[in-house]
Amino acid sequence: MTNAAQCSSNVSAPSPGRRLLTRAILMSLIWLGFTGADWNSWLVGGPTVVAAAWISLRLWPGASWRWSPRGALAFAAYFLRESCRGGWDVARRALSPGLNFTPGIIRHPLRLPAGPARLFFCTVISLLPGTAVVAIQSESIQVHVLDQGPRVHAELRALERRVAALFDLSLSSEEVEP
Amino acid sequence: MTILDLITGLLLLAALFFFVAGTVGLLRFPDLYSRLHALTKADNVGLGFAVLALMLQAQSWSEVFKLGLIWVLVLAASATVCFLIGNEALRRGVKPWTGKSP
Repeated sequence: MTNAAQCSSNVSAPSPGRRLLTRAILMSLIWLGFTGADWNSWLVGGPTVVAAAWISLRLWPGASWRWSPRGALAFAAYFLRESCRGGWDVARRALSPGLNFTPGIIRHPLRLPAGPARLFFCTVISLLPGTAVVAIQSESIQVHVLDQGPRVHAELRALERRVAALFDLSLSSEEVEP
Repeated sequence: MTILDLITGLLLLAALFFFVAGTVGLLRFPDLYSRLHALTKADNVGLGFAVLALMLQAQSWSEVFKLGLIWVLVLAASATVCFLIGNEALRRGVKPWTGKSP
């Protein structure tokens, strides 16, 4: 059941058992972070970790993905900078007199393959200045923007490239029909 | 009062500024979609500053990690909720404000 509707694009998918183990280790690290070296906490933590790993595999059986540590570091710096810019942008609009913006919903074609990279892209868009995803279709997304303009698409393209670098992907084509 | 306490205070003031601005945006922005921006962006940065301030006062690295994890989890939840609300509004045919009508 878990392997049924998987369109796998990666080279060699690890077995479900191995994926469960990987996720259980990840969840254990998070639990360890929450509780410190309190070993009694594992009475609760042990079952919770196993349950969480199992549920995550049921909800999202997808195989593991590749990501580049260098891309991640670059992305973290970019993300922190853009978050501050996004917060500042909203604060400025909220506190300045008058409503000086021209919002609307635009359609943006997707170039990232379906899967974790695309989901991550859509999540991050909502945290960046002036953009929030309101619908995800197979070939495009609808984004609510605070200011319509040509810069929005350029910024989304730039973000898309950074996400592709983070996940070690190459984008299908540089330009897509609008 | 050490220099660390001073920095903590300044970071908390920055956090306060973004939370207030986000709330003002929530009240002032013209439609549901714009209000989502006020909540997700300003509050995330506000929480980021609050978390940084508390990290400076943490007693152990485990606390620093915990605070960092809380920020990341809140970011993920906030982006997800933002999408769910926006998506549901779009499905129900809520029209975005474009500045043309009064």
